[in-house]
Order: sequence, then structure tokens, then C-alpha cells
Amino acid sequence: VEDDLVAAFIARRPEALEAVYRRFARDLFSVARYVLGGSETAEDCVHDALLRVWHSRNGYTPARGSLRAYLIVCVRNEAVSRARSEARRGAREARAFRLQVVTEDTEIVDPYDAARVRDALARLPAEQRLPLERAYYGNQTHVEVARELGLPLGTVKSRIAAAMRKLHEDLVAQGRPA
Amino acid sequence: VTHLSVTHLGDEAELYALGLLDDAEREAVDAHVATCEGCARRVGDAEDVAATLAASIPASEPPARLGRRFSARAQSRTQTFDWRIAALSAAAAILLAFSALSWQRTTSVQGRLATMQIATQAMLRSHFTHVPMTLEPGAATSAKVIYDPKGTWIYVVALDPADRFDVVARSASGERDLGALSPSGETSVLFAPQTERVESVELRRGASTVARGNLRY
Repeated sequence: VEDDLVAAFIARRPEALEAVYRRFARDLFSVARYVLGGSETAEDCVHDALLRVWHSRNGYTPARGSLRAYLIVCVRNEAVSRARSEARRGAREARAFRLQVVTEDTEIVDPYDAARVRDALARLPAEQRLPLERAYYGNQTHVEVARELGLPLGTVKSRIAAAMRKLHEDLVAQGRPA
Repeated sequence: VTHLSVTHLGDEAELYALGLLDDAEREAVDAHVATCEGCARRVGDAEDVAATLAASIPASEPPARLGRRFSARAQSRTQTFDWRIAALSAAAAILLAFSALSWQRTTSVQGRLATMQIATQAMLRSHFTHVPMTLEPGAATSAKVIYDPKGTWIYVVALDPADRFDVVARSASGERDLGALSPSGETSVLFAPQTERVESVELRRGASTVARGNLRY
């Protein structure tokens, strides 16, 4: 079924866009909501990001791997762009790093993968883990991360990229690709 | 990032997946990845990690109206590809108008609404066409036959008829009396399911033919 959905999406069959949305709606909306905060802005973000992908000449290809992961990244990138644009216009407060408090009562996107990624993050050296957490969970730019951690911009970029590669190796080694 | 068409991705692959590139840099990555399988796999690996990082953020249920926006878009695309939907919508509107008039003016409202519902469903489930009926002098009405090109139903409409008209259908197996038109406001109508293609339809007043329509398939 998943393969059929991907094939229909790549072929731009008219019904595929809605089908893909419904398949991944909760993941996509959660990501947009986490970055943007408001429900209405998150809704517009998911809608516009999917349409952008749908019409893009350089969109999803099977060589890229998971369609779900691709779409999550597209929606988050759209959300990050919007948040930064709002910040430039002064419509959004400059972000101070904060890890959102997730209690036992908080429903999260995927508890199983969350446990895997928490363990994998814990195995990273702190010098890689801290900038990555700030960039992803704190929604900070690498410039903001560099400033707050007192590190050169190039160092932050390379440490974040190295952290991502190490996480990938770790997650694959756990037996299931991310 | 500026020469990605000739240079493979470095750390940009991971920075892309984390939303740390600006719009122009992202577009450059997308353009390169579209033509380079190795870099596509690398970006895909980073996207897998980013999607797994998202597993631990709070879940939010999307509003139902977001789904409806995609549904509406899919439906509107279907309509642009099928001109017949517009004609069917018009037919449904006409039938609804008939129903409203029936409600006001007839005594057998339930029966008429049931007929209308059957007609509406038949018309919405199939394509249809129509022909005007040619009137005999002094017919005192105008009439049309709306019908399924596959021959499964016909719908006869006469405007403001002065008399009670009977409908007779002619097909390969012969002539059949389908019954009388039923008054419905400013019109009289008859919906009749068929088992074979009707070749022609006549409206009769008593023994005289007042209108005739030849159906084309």
C-alpha cells in the first residue's frame, strides 16, 4: 500500500496529494505546530508546503528514501522559513533556547522512535549533541547556536553535520533505519 | 553550495535536513539531488534522522478543515478534467427545483420526491444527453427528453402543458406506453428506467401525437 501511495504521488495522480496528506497528517501538522506554535499558521504551513512539493520540478525521488521523512523535512523547512520571516518583521520574539517540557502525560509523535533517538543522542559527545539539540528542538539558526555557545560558525556547522551522520549510523546499527 | 551542479554535497546534506539552509541554498540542494543519486541517498539519510528526531516532539492533531482543503482541491481538479460534472450539477439543480415545486403543489409529495431522488441518482451516476421534442401544431407546450446514452433511463420534461400527456417510447422491441407526465409546478415530468435504448419518444394527448423526439446514441 505504501509503495502504491508513493508511486501515485510521483506520478502526480490527482488523488495522491490528499491521500499522502491523510497518511502523514499527524506527523506533518505536529512538526509545523512545534516550530510555529499557532494552529492556524501551522495549518497554512502544511498546506502550502505540500503544494510546493507537489508542483516542484525537483521534488521527491525514490533515491532519496522515505517519502514520509522527506515530507516531514519539507514541512519543517517551510515552518522554519516562516518563523524566521516573522522574526525579521518583528512579528515573533527572538527565540531563546528552550527544550519543550515533555511530561509523562504529553502525547508525543512516536514513543518508540523517541526512545531510540533519546538513547542515540545520549551516546553523542556533548560538543555535537548540544548544538544539534539547539538547532532541532530549539529551532535556532546555526548563527544563533554559534553565538550562544561561543563557537565559530563553521565549527557549529561541522559539529551538527557530524552529529547527524553519527546518529544515522547509530540508528541503522539498532537494526532499523530511521 | 553555489556550484552544486558540478560539486557533490558536503555538510549541506545534513544542514538541509535540519532547516539550517536559506531558501536559495535549499533550492540548490534540491536541484543537485534531482540529478545525483549518491547525494540523494545522503540527503535521504539525513532526512531519516531528522524525521526520527521529530518522534519526540508533542503530537498535535490536525484540524479537520485542513483535510477538507486537500479534498476540495482534489475535487476541483476532477471537475476541470470532466466537463460533464457541470452539466450534471445543472441537472441536479433543475431536479431540486422540481422537487421544491412538487412539495408546494402536489398531493402525493412523498411519491414524487422518491421519483425525483431516483432520477437524481440515476443522472448523477451516469452521463446524459438531451434532445428537444418536435411539436405538432397547436401542441401548447415545449418538451425535451434527457437520457442516458447507455439506454438505462429517460427523463421527459414538458413545459406548462395545457393537457394531460401520455409518454410512448419506441425501441427495437416495439412501442411501449410509459404512463402520463406528472405535473410538477410549471412543468410535467416522467422518469422511466429502461432495459434497452429508446429510439424515439412521443407525447400523446388521447390518440393524437403532439410532440416527438428522436434520440441519438
